[in-house]
Amino acid sequence: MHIGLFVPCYMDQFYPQAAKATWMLLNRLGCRVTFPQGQTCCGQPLANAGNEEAARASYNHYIKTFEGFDFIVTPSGSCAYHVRHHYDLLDKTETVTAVREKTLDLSEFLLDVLKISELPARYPHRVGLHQSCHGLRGLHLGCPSESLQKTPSRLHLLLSMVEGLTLVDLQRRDECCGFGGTFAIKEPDISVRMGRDRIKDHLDAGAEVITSGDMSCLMHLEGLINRRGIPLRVMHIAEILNAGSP
Amino acid sequence: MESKHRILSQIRAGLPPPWPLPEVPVFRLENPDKPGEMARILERGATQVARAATISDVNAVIDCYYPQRGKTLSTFPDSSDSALPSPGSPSDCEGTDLAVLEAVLGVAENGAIWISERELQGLRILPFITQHLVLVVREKTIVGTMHEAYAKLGRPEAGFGVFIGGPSKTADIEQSLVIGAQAARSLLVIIIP
Amino acid sequence: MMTHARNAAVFNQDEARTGWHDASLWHVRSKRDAAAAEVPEWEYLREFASDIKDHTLSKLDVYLEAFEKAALANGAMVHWAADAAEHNELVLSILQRHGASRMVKSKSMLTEECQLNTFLEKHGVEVIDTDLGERIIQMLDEPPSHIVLPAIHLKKEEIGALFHRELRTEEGASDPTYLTEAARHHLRDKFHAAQVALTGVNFGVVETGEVVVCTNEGNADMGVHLKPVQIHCMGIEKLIPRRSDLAVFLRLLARSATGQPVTVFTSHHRQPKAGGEMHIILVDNGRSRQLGRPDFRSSLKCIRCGACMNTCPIYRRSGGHSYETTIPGPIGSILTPGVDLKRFGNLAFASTLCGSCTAVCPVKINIDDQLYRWRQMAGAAGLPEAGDRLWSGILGKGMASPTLFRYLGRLGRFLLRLLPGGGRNIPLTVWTRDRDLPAAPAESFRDWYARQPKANGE
Repeated sequence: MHIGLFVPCYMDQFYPQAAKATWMLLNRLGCRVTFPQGQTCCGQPLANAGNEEAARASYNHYIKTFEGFDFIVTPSGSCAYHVRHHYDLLDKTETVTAVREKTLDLSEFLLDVLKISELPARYPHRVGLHQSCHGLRGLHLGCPSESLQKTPSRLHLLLSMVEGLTLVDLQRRDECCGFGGTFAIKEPDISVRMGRDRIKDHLDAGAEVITSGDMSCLMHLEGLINRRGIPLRVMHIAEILNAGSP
Repeated sequence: MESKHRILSQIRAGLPPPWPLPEVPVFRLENPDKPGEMARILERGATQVARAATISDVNAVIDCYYPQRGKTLSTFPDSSDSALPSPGSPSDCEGTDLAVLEAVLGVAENGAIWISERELQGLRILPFITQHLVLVVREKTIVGTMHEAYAKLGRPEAGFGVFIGGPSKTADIEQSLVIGAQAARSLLVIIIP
Repeated sequence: MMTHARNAAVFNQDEARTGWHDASLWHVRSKRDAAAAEVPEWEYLREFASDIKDHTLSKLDVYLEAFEKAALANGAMVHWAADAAEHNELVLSILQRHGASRMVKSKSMLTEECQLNTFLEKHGVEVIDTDLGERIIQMLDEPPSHIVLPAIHLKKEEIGALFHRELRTEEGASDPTYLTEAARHHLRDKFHAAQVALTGVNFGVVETGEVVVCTNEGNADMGVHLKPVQIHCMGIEKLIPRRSDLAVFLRLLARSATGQPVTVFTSHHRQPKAGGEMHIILVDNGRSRQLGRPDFRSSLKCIRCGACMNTCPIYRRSGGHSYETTIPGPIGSILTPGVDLKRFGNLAFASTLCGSCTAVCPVKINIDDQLYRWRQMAGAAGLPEAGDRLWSGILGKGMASPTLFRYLGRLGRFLLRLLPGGGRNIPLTVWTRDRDLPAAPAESFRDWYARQPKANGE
């Protein structure tokens, strides 16, 4: 099984340690992983801004870069969601369909494909889980609080495999962080307020670290945390799942 | 007529592709104690619920809950209260303190109680204009769900009918619940066998 | 800055009030969750409701004619209004035919959409909105901020002050029970003084020709049963085929809206009262046009419960007035751009596309998908909110080029590392007004990866 690793642009540039953790985790679990150097962007920023036609070139480039892999794994729920749900602009050729269907969020790959039931990870801290919206409601990675259907939460399951980790109880377990891509710039007042409200929830619950399957949410929260010197850190879930192991 | 045709042709121009009408099952209540469930839901919604063994006990129950009542209208033939006036002048009902009405059926899942123009003897305004309301429900007419209720009601014969699920209420002022908005200030449901 | 964003900025200036508004609506969302949890078949009901509405829309022409036939057979009068102006004229003509100049009205977002009150008042008709919340905002000359809880944005002290001015309640009194009692007496007088009553319609049943009106206060019934002439205004999308379908919708509606198991009064009007008249006005006003839009037609399934507003983190932190539409919030943001894309297209961007609205919608409207699709419409129309088309095109090409991509990333990090403090909190950009930028690491992931020894023949 040959895995293609897709790393979102801002993770590549600003949070390489989370991408490294993803890489190391997959290798540690015995996967043959390649990071195609020619990769660029999944096209989400342009498309969400209402310019999906301008993103077409990125879509084609993504398909070309990743055709031939057995799975494409990305530590980003929103990128996986975008490729699987918003690439309808492209003709549904066999290649396009295959690449789209095989693009998985990291947690989906670990649990649905590798079917891991344990991890040699240790992270003795109080952790708040931020359930990113695209992953939660878009990819059904967990059980949204609105739904009466009880679906298992992949992120909870993975974190339960980490020794010493305590998950804190939030007041609002899946409210949006307020990043929303260009929303963060177009509606800054609400974006900031939403982020601050999330931070307060985690702080009040006694979290030391906020984790998520999406670095974009964490980038937004971290920006607010650092500006006000709040005693919280952010870590991508890949870093926690890769933590403390030999 | 012209607008009707304009609207219909515009609709036809953009009609969605066919979509089947589902057959909806008659969902039933899990809890077998329907009167008990109905009472629980009603009481949660500020309705008072009492039981009476016979029709004549109904009056005793009403005396107990509304000892100081003023002008009372009742659909019970052997009650000491006034019979309903003719429906001609609904505004004449203003000043009714208590209305005692026999309902057709009750719904356990949500406390909804059905009464129609027939039971109201044409006086549609009565359950609303009265200051306080008593609805008498026969235990065997209590169904579990709204699906069962509509199945039991069948084709409508009366020109008006209403499900009443509590005293009138509002939370329009800062989400503070106030019982007694525009219609009845209180609802007493009396369950008889 | 787009309209909603501008209004939201003003709203958010009062941090405490924003928190209060947010908490109030989150509380309503929580009540919905608790009520839904009591219905084991909740998710099945949503599916049925969605299918019944999708089916009805696919045969809307047939069903409208069948509904009219049934209503006429019941002795009701049926009118068709292609647009808001025609709707208003029809209402006025009914009033004028009966020499009526005083009308009471129970909640109808449709009449709000048609601006009925303003029109009637211009023609010398006194219109009294009889829902407590609607009456409050009518006295304040404000539009509703929520379709179910129109006065949710007001504090009780503000309402107390208003009632002191208008109803001569005690100065400084703000107890909701006291204020509601004052409104009760005031509205009782109005019900008796009115000559005609008008209501909205929650559901029109094709099988029986009935219109169903749901209230908690009983005000719709207080109006229609006291006077001979009653008028019911209904959007053409409000039809459902069978009486038994009401069970599905009534089980979903109040629980979704306020967390109650059912509204206090669910009135079924089928025939005019003895000696009276019953009018049903069927209103299009853009609905048939929306029906013709494959990407957006399912927005017509809406049963106006307001759950999407209660759950929307943006609505809760900006209030209904920020949208400047008749119907605000998520559903308003997919209905209104169809009316005027240039003016309302910005609403599709007043969202993070979190999907919570879609998850609570009792009729399973894919609201977040439609918001995304309206963004593409806005982009194609060259609206400023969508970002410059020229730059997007250039950026699009750039982002598909690995070389350019790699060098732009490197350049960005390099520049940031040059700036004092890593550029983290220099107020250059909207971002850095309240947020630090992330630290710029020395090496990107791809640069690190390039240095790693490769195994497995890469």
